[in-house]
Amino acid sequence: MSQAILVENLAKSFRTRSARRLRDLFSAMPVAEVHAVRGISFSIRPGERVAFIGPNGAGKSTTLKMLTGILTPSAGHAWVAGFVPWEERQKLARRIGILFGQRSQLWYHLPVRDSLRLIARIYGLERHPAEARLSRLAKTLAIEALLDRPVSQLSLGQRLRCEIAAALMHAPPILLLDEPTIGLDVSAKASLRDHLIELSAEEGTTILLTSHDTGDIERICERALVIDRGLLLLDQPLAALRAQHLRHRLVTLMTEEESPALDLPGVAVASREPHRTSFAVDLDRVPVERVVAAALERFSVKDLAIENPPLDDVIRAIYRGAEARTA
Amino acid sequence: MSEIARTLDAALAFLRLGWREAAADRFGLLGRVLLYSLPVLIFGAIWRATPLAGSGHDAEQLTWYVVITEAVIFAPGFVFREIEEDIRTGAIESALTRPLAYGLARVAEEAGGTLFRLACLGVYGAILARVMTGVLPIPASAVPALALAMAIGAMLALLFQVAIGFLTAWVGTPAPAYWIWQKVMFVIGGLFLPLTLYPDWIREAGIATPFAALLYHPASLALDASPQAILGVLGWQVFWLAVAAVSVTAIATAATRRFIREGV
Repeated sequence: MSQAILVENLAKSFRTRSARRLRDLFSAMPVAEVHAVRGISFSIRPGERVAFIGPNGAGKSTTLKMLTGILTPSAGHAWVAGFVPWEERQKLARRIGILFGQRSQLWYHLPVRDSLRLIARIYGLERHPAEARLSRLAKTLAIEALLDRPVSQLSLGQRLRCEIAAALMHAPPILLLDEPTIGLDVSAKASLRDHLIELSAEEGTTILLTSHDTGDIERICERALVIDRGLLLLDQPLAALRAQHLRHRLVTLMTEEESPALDLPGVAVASREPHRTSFAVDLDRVPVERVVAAALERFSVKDLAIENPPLDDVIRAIYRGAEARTA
Repeated sequence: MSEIARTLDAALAFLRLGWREAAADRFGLLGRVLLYSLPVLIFGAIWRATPLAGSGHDAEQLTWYVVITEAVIFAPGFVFREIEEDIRTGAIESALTRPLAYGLARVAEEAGGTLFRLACLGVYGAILARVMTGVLPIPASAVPALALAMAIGAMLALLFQVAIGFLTAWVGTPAPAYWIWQKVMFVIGGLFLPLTLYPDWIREAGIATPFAALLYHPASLALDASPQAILGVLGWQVFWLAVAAVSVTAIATAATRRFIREGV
Protein backbone atom coordinates (compact mmCIF):
# COMPACT_ATOMS: atom_id res chain seq x y z
CA MET A 1 0.00 0.00 0.00
CA SER A 2 1.59 3.28 -1.13
CA GLN A 3 -0.54 5.55 1.07
CA ALA A 4 0.29 6.14 4.73
CA ILE A 5 -3.43 6.56 5.45
CA LEU A 6 -6.27 5.57 3.15
CA VAL A 7 -9.89 6.16 4.14
CA GLU A 8 -12.90 5.12 2.04
CA ASN A 9 -16.48 6.07 2.91
CA LEU A 10 -15.78 5.89 6.63
CA ALA A 11 -18.85 6.41 8.79
CA LYS A 12 -19.71 6.14 12.47
CA SER A 13 -23.10 6.36 14.12
CA PHE A 14 -23.82 6.14 17.82
CA ARG A 15 -27.12 4.99 19.26
CA THR A 16 -28.15 6.95 22.31
CA ARG A 17 -31.12 6.50 24.59
CA SER A 18 -32.82 9.51 26.05
CA ALA A 19 -35.57 9.99 28.60
CA ARG A 20 -37.50 13.14 27.73
CA ARG A 21 -40.32 12.54 30.15
CA LEU A 22 -40.32 10.98 33.60
CA ARG A 23 -42.36 8.01 32.42
CA ASP A 24 -39.67 7.25 29.78
CA LEU A 25 -37.49 6.13 32.67
CA PHE A 26 -39.90 3.28 33.36
CA SER A 27 -40.41 2.15 29.78
CA ALA A 28 -38.26 1.43 26.76
CA MET A 29 -36.40 4.68 26.17
CA PRO A 30 -36.48 6.10 22.66
CA VAL A 31 -33.31 5.38 20.72
CA ALA A 32 -31.75 8.19 18.74
CA GLU A 33 -29.03 7.66 16.16
CA VAL A 34 -26.27 10.25 16.04
CA HIS A 35 -24.20 10.32 12.86
CA ALA A 36 -20.77 11.48 13.97
CA VAL A 37 -19.00 10.73 10.69
CA ARG A 38 -20.89 10.33 7.39
CA GLY A 39 -18.88 8.52 4.79
CA ILE A 40 -15.64 10.45 4.44
CA SER A 41 -12.82 9.50 2.05
CA PHE A 42 -9.26 10.78 1.79
CA SER A 43 -5.71 9.57 1.49
CA ILE A 44 -2.42 10.80 2.91
CA ARG A 45 0.95 10.10 1.33
CA PRO A 46 3.95 9.06 3.45
CA GLY A 47 5.69 12.14 4.82
CA GLU A 48 2.73 14.48 4.25
CA ARG A 49 1.67 16.85 7.02
CA VAL A 50 -2.08 17.24 6.98
CA ALA A 51 -4.43 19.29 9.14
CA PHE A 52 -7.83 17.90 10.04
CA ILE A 53 -9.95 20.95 10.75
CA GLY A 54 -13.48 21.39 11.96
CA PRO A 55 -15.60 22.94 14.71
CA ASN A 56 -16.42 21.10 17.93
CA GLY A 57 -18.58 18.05 17.22
CA ALA A 58 -17.54 17.95 13.56
CA GLY A 59 -16.30 14.36 13.77
CA LYS A 60 -12.53 14.97 13.99
CA SER A 61 -11.88 13.02 17.18
CA THR A 62 -14.22 10.21 16.14
CA THR A 63 -12.29 9.85 12.87
CA LEU A 64 -8.98 9.94 14.70
CA LYS A 65 -10.20 7.24 17.10
CA MET A 66 -11.20 5.04 14.17
CA LEU A 67 -7.79 5.56 12.58
CA THR A 68 -6.04 4.49 15.79
CA GLY A 69 -8.21 1.38 16.07
CA ILE A 70 -9.96 2.27 19.31
CA LEU A 71 -13.33 2.71 17.61
CA THR A 72 -14.99 0.50 15.01
CA PRO A 73 -16.72 2.32 12.15
CA SER A 74 -20.36 1.66 11.26
CA ALA A 75 -19.39 1.52 7.59
CA GLY A 76 -16.47 2.05 5.28
CA HIS A 77 -12.83 1.04 5.22
CA ALA A 78 -9.54 2.45 6.37
CA TRP A 79 -5.92 1.39 6.23
CA VAL A 80 -3.25 3.01 8.35
CA ALA A 81 0.34 1.94 7.64
CA GLY A 82 -1.22 -0.96 5.75
CA PHE A 83 -3.29 -2.18 8.71
CA VAL A 84 -7.04 -2.13 9.23
CA PRO A 85 -6.93 -0.23 12.54
CA TRP A 86 -9.86 -1.78 14.42
CA GLU A 87 -8.87 -5.31 13.38
CA GLU A 88 -5.11 -5.03 13.99
CA ARG A 89 -4.99 -2.47 16.75
CA GLN A 90 -1.96 -3.80 18.63
CA LYS A 91 0.11 -4.34 15.46
CA LEU A 92 -0.81 -0.87 14.28
CA ALA A 93 0.23 0.56 17.66
CA ARG A 94 3.88 -0.11 16.80
CA ARG A 95 3.55 1.94 13.59
CA ILE A 96 1.79 5.05 14.90
CA GLY A 97 2.50 7.63 17.55
CA ILE A 98 -0.38 9.44 19.21
CA LEU A 99 -0.49 12.64 21.18
CA PHE A 100 -3.71 13.75 22.83
CA GLY A 101 -2.94 17.30 24.00
CA GLN A 102 -5.39 17.06 26.89
CA ARG A 103 -4.25 13.65 28.12
CA SER A 104 -0.90 12.57 29.38
CA GLN A 105 0.76 9.31 28.52
CA LEU A 106 3.57 9.93 30.99
CA TRP A 107 3.54 8.73 34.59
CA TYR A 108 2.85 11.68 36.83
CA HIS A 109 5.19 10.78 39.70
CA LEU A 110 8.00 9.29 37.64
CA PRO A 111 10.98 11.20 36.26
CA VAL A 112 10.61 11.78 32.51
CA ARG A 113 13.53 9.45 31.74
CA ASP A 114 11.83 6.55 33.59
CA SER A 115 8.54 7.21 31.79
CA LEU A 116 10.30 7.12 28.42
CA ARG A 117 12.18 3.96 29.35
CA LEU A 118 8.92 2.31 30.39
CA ILE A 119 7.35 3.29 27.07
CA ALA A 120 10.37 1.81 25.28
CA ARG A 121 9.73 -1.49 27.06
CA ILE A 122 6.02 -1.38 26.21
CA TYR A 123 7.04 -1.14 22.55
CA GLY A 124 9.63 -3.90 22.99
CA LEU A 125 12.65 -1.77 22.11
CA GLU A 126 16.08 -3.21 22.90
CA ARG A 127 17.94 -1.37 25.63
CA HIS A 128 20.77 0.23 23.61
CA PRO A 129 18.69 1.44 20.64
CA ALA A 130 16.12 2.75 23.14
CA GLU A 131 18.75 4.74 25.04
CA ALA A 132 20.13 6.13 21.78
CA ARG A 133 16.63 7.12 20.67
CA LEU A 134 15.92 8.74 24.04
CA SER A 135 19.11 10.83 23.82
CA ARG A 136 18.36 11.89 20.26
CA LEU A 137 14.78 12.93 21.03
CA ALA A 138 15.90 14.71 24.20
CA LYS A 139 18.38 16.74 22.16
CA THR A 140 15.97 17.54 19.33
CA LEU A 141 13.13 18.46 21.67
CA ALA A 142 15.44 20.29 24.08
CA ILE A 143 14.32 18.25 27.09
CA GLU A 144 17.73 17.04 28.23
CA ALA A 145 17.55 19.14 31.39
CA LEU A 146 14.07 17.80 32.18
CA LEU A 147 14.80 14.09 31.97
CA ASP A 148 15.46 13.56 35.65
CA ARG A 149 12.57 15.70 36.88
CA PRO A 150 9.22 14.12 37.81
CA VAL A 151 6.48 14.85 35.29
CA SER A 152 4.48 16.48 38.10
CA GLN A 153 7.10 19.27 38.31
CA LEU A 154 7.02 20.25 34.63
CA SER A 155 5.26 23.22 33.08
CA LEU A 156 2.63 22.47 30.44
CA GLY A 157 4.98 23.41 27.60
CA GLN A 158 7.76 21.24 29.01
CA ARG A 159 5.36 18.36 29.54
CA LEU A 160 4.04 18.53 25.99
CA ARG A 161 7.58 18.36 24.59
CA CYS A 162 8.10 15.26 26.73
CA GLU A 163 4.75 13.87 25.50
CA ILE A 164 6.00 14.22 21.93
CA ALA A 165 9.15 12.35 22.86
CA ALA A 166 6.92 9.63 24.33
CA ALA A 167 4.84 9.44 21.15
CA LEU A 168 8.00 9.17 19.04
CA MET A 169 10.08 6.78 21.19
CA HIS A 170 9.33 3.83 18.90
CA ALA A 171 10.07 5.91 15.77
CA PRO A 172 6.59 5.60 14.27
CA PRO A 173 6.25 6.54 10.59
CA ILE A 174 2.84 8.10 11.31
CA LEU A 175 2.06 10.65 14.02
CA LEU A 176 -1.50 11.54 15.00
CA LEU A 177 -1.80 14.73 17.00
CA ASP A 178 -5.01 15.82 18.69
CA GLU A 179 -4.77 19.47 19.81
CA PRO A 180 -1.04 19.24 20.50
CA THR A 181 -0.57 22.87 21.60
CA ILE A 182 -3.74 23.37 23.62
CA GLY A 183 -3.15 25.59 26.65
CA LEU A 184 0.38 26.66 25.67
CA ASP A 185 1.62 30.24 25.59
CA VAL A 186 2.79 31.81 22.33
CA SER A 187 6.49 31.02 22.67
CA ALA A 188 5.91 27.45 23.85
CA LYS A 189 3.57 26.90 20.90
CA ALA A 190 6.16 28.24 18.46
CA SER A 191 8.87 26.07 19.98
CA LEU A 192 6.71 22.93 19.87
CA ARG A 193 5.73 23.55 16.25
CA ASP A 194 9.38 24.02 15.27
CA HIS A 195 10.32 20.75 16.95
CA LEU A 196 7.53 18.89 15.18
CA ILE A 197 8.55 20.23 11.79
CA GLU A 198 12.19 19.39 12.43
CA LEU A 199 11.37 15.82 13.49
CA SER A 200 9.00 15.29 10.62
CA ALA A 201 11.57 16.56 8.11
CA GLU A 202 14.37 14.45 9.58
CA GLU A 203 12.45 11.20 9.81
CA GLY A 204 9.89 11.62 7.06
CA THR A 205 7.08 11.22 9.58
CA THR A 206 3.55 11.54 8.27
CA ILE A 207 1.53 13.90 10.46
CA LEU A 208 -2.24 14.13 10.79
CA LEU A 209 -3.10 16.96 13.13
CA THR A 210 -6.36 18.24 14.57
CA SER A 211 -6.31 21.67 16.13
CA HIS A 212 -8.45 24.69 16.72
CA ASP A 213 -5.32 26.80 16.64
CA THR A 214 -4.83 27.98 13.09
CA GLY A 215 -1.20 28.76 13.92
CA ASP A 216 -0.54 25.02 14.32
CA ILE A 217 -2.11 24.34 10.97
CA GLU A 218 -0.37 27.17 9.12
CA ARG A 219 3.04 26.42 10.59
CA ILE A 220 3.06 22.63 10.51
CA CYS A 221 0.78 21.49 7.70
CA GLU A 222 0.84 21.65 3.94
CA ARG A 223 -2.64 20.35 3.29
CA ALA A 224 -5.99 20.65 5.03
CA LEU A 225 -9.03 18.43 5.34
CA VAL A 226 -12.05 20.39 6.50
CA ILE A 227 -14.84 18.43 8.17
CA ASP A 228 -18.17 19.61 9.54
CA ARG A 229 -21.14 17.62 10.84
CA GLY A 230 -19.42 14.42 9.82
CA LEU A 231 -18.93 15.41 6.19
CA LEU A 232 -15.66 16.21 4.49
CA LEU A 233 -16.18 19.69 3.09
CA LEU A 234 -12.79 20.22 1.57
CA ASP A 235 -9.47 18.52 0.87
CA GLN A 236 -6.90 20.99 -0.46
CA PRO A 237 -3.35 22.27 -0.14
CA LEU A 238 -3.28 25.07 2.39
CA ALA A 239 -2.25 27.68 -0.19
CA ALA A 240 -5.15 26.74 -2.48
CA LEU A 241 -7.50 26.83 0.46
CA ARG A 242 -6.56 30.41 1.15
CA ALA A 243 -6.61 31.44 -2.51
CA GLN A 244 -10.05 29.96 -3.17
CA HIS A 245 -11.85 30.74 0.00
CA LEU A 246 -10.74 34.16 0.96
CA ARG A 247 -10.22 36.53 -1.90
CA HIS A 248 -8.66 39.37 -0.01
CA ARG A 249 -5.31 40.55 1.31
CA LEU A 250 -4.46 43.00 4.01
CA VAL A 251 -2.06 45.77 2.89
CA THR A 252 -0.60 47.75 5.79
CA LEU A 253 1.18 51.03 5.09
CA MET A 254 3.45 53.04 7.41
CA THR A 255 3.47 56.53 5.92
CA GLU A 256 4.66 60.08 6.53
CA GLU A 257 1.03 61.08 6.04
CA GLU A 258 -1.12 60.70 9.11
CA SER A 259 -4.26 59.34 7.41
CA PRO A 260 -3.66 58.27 3.82
CA ALA A 261 -6.73 57.44 1.72
CA LEU A 262 -6.87 55.15 -1.34
CA ASP A 263 -9.93 55.63 -3.50
CA LEU A 264 -9.64 52.46 -5.57
CA PRO A 265 -12.48 50.05 -6.27
CA GLY A 266 -12.30 47.02 -3.97
CA VAL A 267 -10.11 48.75 -1.37
CA ALA A 268 -11.44 49.63 2.07
CA VAL A 269 -9.82 50.80 5.27
CA ALA A 270 -9.61 47.87 7.69
CA SER A 271 -7.95 49.73 10.59
CA ARG A 272 -6.32 53.07 11.11
CA GLU A 273 -3.83 54.57 13.56
CA PRO A 274 -1.81 57.75 13.02
CA HIS A 275 0.72 57.00 10.25
CA ARG A 276 -0.35 53.36 10.07
CA THR A 277 -3.27 52.26 7.93
CA SER A 278 -4.42 48.76 6.94
CA PHE A 279 -6.42 48.31 3.74
CA ALA A 280 -8.54 45.26 2.95
CA VAL A 281 -8.10 44.48 -0.74
CA ASP A 282 -10.73 42.54 -2.68
CA LEU A 283 -8.67 40.55 -5.17
CA ASP A 284 -11.67 39.94 -7.42
CA ARG A 285 -11.91 43.68 -8.07
CA VAL A 286 -8.33 44.89 -7.93
CA PRO A 287 -4.94 43.14 -8.04
CA VAL A 288 -2.79 43.74 -5.00
CA GLU A 289 0.09 44.97 -7.20
CA ARG A 290 -2.07 47.88 -8.38
CA VAL A 291 -2.90 48.85 -4.82
CA VAL A 292 0.80 48.79 -3.85
CA ALA A 293 1.79 50.79 -6.93
CA ALA A 294 -0.87 53.38 -6.20
CA ALA A 295 0.24 53.65 -2.57
CA LEU A 296 3.91 54.09 -3.49
CA GLU A 297 2.98 56.72 -6.06
CA ARG A 298 0.73 58.78 -3.80
CA PHE A 299 2.30 58.57 -0.34
CA SER A 300 5.69 58.66 1.34
CA VAL A 301 5.75 55.02 2.35
CA LYS A 302 8.21 54.14 5.14
CA ASP A 303 7.18 50.48 5.38
CA LEU A 304 4.69 48.16 3.79
CA ALA A 305 3.32 44.71 4.60
CA ILE A 306 1.06 42.39 2.61
CA GLU A 307 -0.59 39.77 4.78
CA ASN A 308 -2.62 36.69 4.03
CA PRO A 309 -5.89 36.51 5.87
CA PRO A 310 -5.78 34.49 9.08
CA LEU A 311 -6.78 30.86 8.58
CA ASP A 312 -9.60 31.37 11.07
CA ASP A 313 -11.29 33.59 8.48
CA VAL A 314 -10.70 31.01 5.77
CA ILE A 315 -12.33 28.30 7.84
CA ARG A 316 -15.23 30.54 8.75
CA ALA A 317 -15.75 31.28 5.07
CA ILE A 318 -15.79 27.56 4.24
CA TYR A 319 -18.34 26.84 6.95
CA ARG A 320 -20.49 29.73 5.80
CA GLY A 321 -20.33 28.41 2.24
CA ALA A 322 -21.27 24.92 3.34
CA GLU A 323 -24.17 26.23 5.44
CA ALA A 324 -25.43 28.28 2.51
CA ARG A 325 -25.28 25.21 0.24
CA THR A 326 -27.12 23.09 2.84
CA ALA A 327 -29.80 25.76 3.26
CA MET B 1 12.67 -10.62 20.92
CA SER B 2 9.53 -12.72 20.39
CA GLU B 3 6.07 -11.28 20.94
CA ILE B 4 5.60 -13.27 24.17
CA ALA B 5 9.01 -12.22 25.49
CA ARG B 6 8.20 -8.57 24.69
CA THR B 7 4.86 -8.82 26.50
CA LEU B 8 6.44 -10.47 29.55
CA ASP B 9 9.23 -7.89 29.62
CA ALA B 10 6.71 -5.04 29.48
CA ALA B 11 4.56 -6.68 32.19
CA LEU B 12 7.67 -7.05 34.34
CA ALA B 13 8.42 -3.36 33.86
CA PHE B 14 4.92 -2.51 35.11
CA LEU B 15 5.33 -4.88 38.06
CA ARG B 16 8.54 -3.08 39.01
CA LEU B 17 6.83 0.29 38.55
CA GLY B 18 4.02 -0.74 40.91
CA TRP B 19 6.55 -1.93 43.50
CA ARG B 20 8.47 1.39 43.27
CA GLU B 21 5.26 3.46 43.48
CA ALA B 22 4.13 1.55 46.58
CA ALA B 23 7.59 1.92 48.14
CA ALA B 24 7.51 5.68 47.51
CA ASP B 25 4.06 6.02 49.12
CA ARG B 26 5.33 6.02 52.71
CA PHE B 27 2.31 7.75 54.24
CA GLY B 28 -0.04 5.32 52.51
CA LEU B 29 1.94 2.42 53.92
CA LEU B 30 1.97 3.93 57.40
CA GLY B 31 -1.82 4.37 57.25
CA ARG B 32 -2.27 0.78 56.22
CA VAL B 33 0.01 -0.44 59.02
CA LEU B 34 -2.02 1.51 61.58
CA LEU B 35 -5.35 0.30 60.23
CA TYR B 36 -4.00 -3.26 60.01
CA SER B 37 -2.90 -3.15 63.63
CA LEU B 38 -6.42 -2.35 64.85
CA PRO B 39 -8.24 -5.61 63.99
CA VAL B 40 -5.17 -7.65 64.88
CA LEU B 41 -4.97 -6.11 68.37
CA ILE B 42 -8.75 -6.22 68.91
CA PHE B 43 -9.23 -9.79 67.74
CA GLY B 44 -6.11 -10.93 69.60
CA ALA B 45 -7.73 -9.60 72.77
CA ILE B 46 -11.12 -11.11 71.88
CA TRP B 47 -9.66 -14.59 71.33
CA ARG B 48 -7.92 -14.50 74.68
CA ALA B 49 -11.21 -13.53 76.37
CA THR B 50 -13.71 -15.92 74.73
CA PRO B 51 -14.34 -19.63 75.08
CA LEU B 52 -14.15 -19.93 71.25
CA ALA B 53 -10.42 -20.21 71.75
CA GLY B 54 -11.04 -23.56 73.35
CA SER B 55 -12.98 -24.99 70.41
CA GLY B 56 -10.16 -26.85 68.73
CA HIS B 57 -7.87 -23.87 68.14
CA ASP B 58 -6.08 -21.90 70.82
CA ALA B 59 -6.06 -18.09 71.14
CA GLU B 60 -2.53 -17.91 69.70
CA GLN B 61 -3.49 -19.76 66.53
CA LEU B 62 -6.61 -17.64 66.07
CA THR B 63 -4.58 -14.44 66.50
CA TRP B 64 -2.10 -15.59 63.85
CA TYR B 65 -5.11 -16.47 61.66
CA VAL B 66 -6.34 -12.85 61.76
CA VAL B 67 -2.81 -11.53 61.22
CA ILE B 68 -2.66 -13.49 57.96
CA THR B 69 -6.18 -12.73 56.63
CA GLU B 70 -5.85 -9.02 57.40
CA ALA B 71 -2.43 -8.81 55.70
CA VAL B 72 -3.92 -10.41 52.57
CA ILE B 73 -6.90 -8.07 52.54
CA PHE B 74 -4.91 -4.88 53.26
CA ALA B 75 -2.23 -5.54 50.62
CA PRO B 76 -4.13 -4.69 47.39
CA GLY B 77 -5.06 -1.09 46.67
CA PHE B 78 -8.37 -0.04 45.19
CA VAL B 79 -7.60 -0.88 41.60
CA PHE B 80 -11.30 -1.13 40.66
CA ARG B 81 -11.58 2.60 41.36
CA GLU B 82 -8.57 3.36 39.18
CA ILE B 83 -9.99 1.35 36.30
CA GLU B 84 -13.35 3.07 36.75
CA GLU B 85 -11.55 6.45 36.67
CA ASP B 86 -9.61 5.51 33.52
CA ILE B 87 -12.87 4.57 31.80
CA ARG B 88 -14.84 7.59 33.00
CA THR B 89 -12.16 10.10 32.02
CA GLY B 90 -11.37 8.35 28.73
CA ALA B 91 -7.74 7.86 29.82
CA ILE B 92 -8.16 4.22 28.83
CA GLU B 93 -8.22 5.34 25.19
CA SER B 94 -4.54 6.32 25.33
CA ALA B 95 -3.71 2.95 26.88
CA LEU B 96 -5.66 1.10 24.18
CA THR B 97 -3.44 2.63 21.50
CA ARG B 98 -0.42 0.83 22.94
CA PRO B 99 0.79 -2.63 21.95
CA LEU B 100 0.32 -3.94 25.51
CA ALA B 101 -3.15 -4.93 26.74
CA TYR B 102 -4.51 -2.36 29.21
CA GLY B 103 -5.76 -5.08 31.59
CA LEU B 104 -2.39 -6.81 31.70
CA ALA B 105 -0.55 -3.55 32.34
CA ARG B 106 -2.98 -2.69 35.16
CA VAL B 107 -2.74 -6.13 36.77
CA ALA B 108 1.07 -6.12 36.56
CA GLU B 109 1.40 -2.63 38.03
CA GLU B 110 -1.04 -3.35 40.85
CA ALA B 111 0.59 -6.74 41.50
CA GLY B 112 3.90 -4.95 42.08
CA GLY B 113 2.32 -2.60 44.62
CA THR B 114 0.35 -5.41 46.26
CA LEU B 115 3.42 -7.62 46.69
CA PHE B 116 5.40 -4.75 48.21
CA ARG B 117 2.65 -3.97 50.72
CA LEU B 118 2.10 -7.66 51.46
CA ALA B 119 5.80 -8.10 52.22
CA CYS B 120 5.75 -5.11 54.59
CA LEU B 121 2.50 -6.09 56.30
CA GLY B 122 3.61 -9.73 56.48
CA VAL B 123 6.86 -8.90 58.24
CA TYR B 124 5.20 -6.34 60.52
CA GLY B 125 2.28 -8.72 61.26
CA ALA B 126 4.64 -11.57 62.09
CA ILE B 127 6.55 -9.39 64.57
CA LEU B 128 3.30 -8.08 66.06
CA ALA B 129 1.78 -11.55 66.41
CA ARG B 130 4.97 -12.99 67.87
CA VAL B 131 5.00 -10.22 70.49
CA MET B 132 1.28 -10.72 71.23
CA THR B 133 1.27 -14.52 71.39
CA GLY B 134 4.87 -15.44 72.15
CA VAL B 135 4.67 -18.35 69.70
CA LEU B 136 5.28 -19.12 66.03
CA PRO B 137 2.44 -21.53 65.17
CA ILE B 138 4.03 -23.01 62.06
CA PRO B 139 7.41 -24.64 61.55
CA ALA B 140 10.06 -22.47 59.84
CA SER B 141 10.07 -24.91 56.90
CA ALA B 142 6.41 -24.02 56.16
CA VAL B 143 7.01 -20.25 56.08
CA PRO B 144 7.79 -20.13 52.31
CA ALA B 145 4.55 -22.03 51.61
CA LEU B 146 2.65 -19.60 53.84
CA ALA B 147 4.22 -16.62 52.03
CA LEU B 148 3.26 -18.14 48.67
CA ALA B 149 -0.30 -18.83 49.84
CA MET B 150 -0.63 -15.24 51.10
CA ALA B 151 0.71 -13.89 47.80
CA ILE B 152 -1.79 -16.00 45.83
CA GLY B 153 -4.59 -14.83 48.13
CA ALA B 154 -3.64 -11.18 47.54
CA MET B 155 -3.44 -11.78 43.77
CA LEU B 156 -6.92 -13.31 43.85
CA ALA B 157 -8.22 -10.22 45.65
CA LEU B 158 -6.52 -8.07 43.03
CA LEU B 159 -8.01 -10.03 40.11
CA PHE B 160 -11.51 -9.78 41.63
CA GLN B 161 -11.06 -6.01 41.86
CA VAL B 162 -9.87 -5.78 38.25
CA ALA B 163 -12.95 -7.71 37.11
CA ILE B 164 -15.17 -5.39 39.16
CA GLY B 165 -13.40 -2.34 37.69
CA PHE B 166 -14.12 -3.51 34.13
CA LEU B 167 -17.83 -3.82 35.02
CA THR B 168 -17.85 -0.02 34.55
CA ALA B 169 -18.22 -0.79 30.84
CA TRP B 170 -21.76 -2.06 31.51
CA VAL B 171 -22.97 -0.71 34.85
CA GLY B 172 -21.46 2.78 34.92
CA THR B 173 -20.38 2.65 38.54
CA PRO B 174 -18.99 -0.60 39.95
CA ALA B 175 -18.88 0.45 43.63
CA PRO B 176 -22.07 -1.48 44.61
CA ALA B 177 -20.62 -4.66 43.07
CA TYR B 178 -17.43 -4.07 45.06
CA TRP B 179 -19.27 -3.65 48.35
CA ILE B 180 -21.30 -6.83 47.78
CA TRP B 181 -18.16 -8.77 46.84
CA GLN B 182 -16.30 -7.43 49.87
CA LYS B 183 -19.04 -8.34 52.35
CA VAL B 184 -19.43 -11.84 50.92
CA MET B 185 -15.66 -12.28 51.05
CA PHE B 186 -15.51 -11.17 54.68
CA VAL B 187 -18.20 -13.69 55.67
CA ILE B 188 -17.72 -16.68 53.36
CA GLY B 189 -13.97 -16.15 53.11
CA GLY B 190 -13.53 -16.26 56.89
CA LEU B 191 -11.88 -12.90 57.50
CA PHE B 192 -12.10 -12.99 61.29
CA LEU B 193 -13.18 -16.57 62.02
CA PRO B 194 -11.77 -19.74 60.50
CA LEU B 195 -14.41 -21.62 58.47
CA THR B 196 -13.79 -24.60 60.79
CA LEU B 197 -15.77 -22.70 63.43
CA TYR B 198 -18.77 -22.17 61.09
CA PRO B 199 -21.84 -24.46 61.01
CA ASP B 200 -21.15 -27.54 58.89
CA TRP B 201 -23.25 -26.59 55.84
CA ILE B 202 -21.69 -23.13 55.54
CA ARG B 203 -18.21 -24.48 56.08
CA GLU B 204 -18.62 -27.19 53.46
CA ALA B 205 -20.05 -24.77 50.92
CA GLY B 206 -17.65 -21.96 51.75
CA ILE B 207 -14.44 -23.95 51.67
CA ALA B 208 -14.72 -24.59 47.93
CA THR B 209 -15.35 -20.94 47.01
CA PRO B 210 -12.79 -18.46 45.69
CA PHE B 211 -13.43 -16.38 48.82
CA ALA B 212 -11.97 -19.13 50.99
CA ALA B 213 -9.02 -19.50 48.60
CA LEU B 214 -8.39 -15.81 49.15
CA LEU B 215 -8.52 -15.67 52.97
CA TYR B 216 -9.34 -18.89 54.82
CA HIS B 217 -6.99 -21.24 52.98
CA PRO B 218 -3.75 -19.28 53.46
CA ALA B 219 -4.64 -18.38 57.05
CA SER B 220 -5.60 -21.99 57.84
CA LEU B 221 -1.88 -22.77 57.68
CA ALA B 222 -1.67 -21.07 61.09
CA LEU B 223 -3.98 -23.85 62.34
CA ASP B 224 -2.45 -26.75 60.46
CA ALA B 225 0.78 -26.48 58.50
CA SER B 226 1.28 -30.15 57.75
CA PRO B 227 2.51 -31.04 54.25
CA GLN B 228 -0.95 -32.44 53.37
CA ALA B 229 -2.61 -29.21 54.52
CA ILE B 230 -0.15 -27.11 52.51
CA LEU B 231 -0.82 -29.17 49.38
CA GLY B 232 -4.57 -28.88 49.87
CA VAL B 233 -4.36 -25.08 50.38
CA LEU B 234 -2.13 -24.49 47.35
CA GLY B 235 -4.28 -26.85 45.24
CA TRP B 236 -7.45 -24.84 45.92
CA GLN B 237 -5.62 -21.56 45.42
CA VAL B 238 -3.97 -22.48 42.12
CA PHE B 239 -7.33 -23.74 40.83
CA TRP B 240 -9.10 -20.49 41.72
CA LEU B 241 -6.20 -18.36 40.50
CA ALA B 242 -6.46 -20.04 37.09
CA VAL B 243 -10.26 -19.57 37.04
CA ALA B 244 -9.87 -15.92 38.07
CA ALA B 245 -7.18 -15.25 35.44
CA VAL B 246 -9.37 -16.74 32.68
CA SER B 247 -12.47 -14.87 33.93
CA VAL B 248 -10.68 -11.53 34.20
CA THR B 249 -9.21 -11.96 30.73
CA ALA B 250 -12.69 -12.70 29.36
CA ILE B 251 -14.26 -9.70 31.13
CA ALA B 252 -11.43 -7.34 30.10
CA THR B 253 -11.65 -8.56 26.50
CA ALA B 254 -15.43 -8.12 26.42
CA ALA B 255 -15.16 -4.63 27.94
CA THR B 256 -12.47 -3.61 25.45
CA ARG B 257 -14.61 -4.90 22.57
CA ARG B 258 -17.48 -2.85 23.88
CA PHE B 259 -15.32 0.29 24.05
CA ILE B 260 -14.06 -0.28 20.52
CA ARG B 261 -17.57 -0.92 19.22
CA GLU B 262 -19.42 1.86 21.03
CA GLY B 263 -16.73 4.24 22.23
CA VAL B 264 -15.56 4.89 25.78
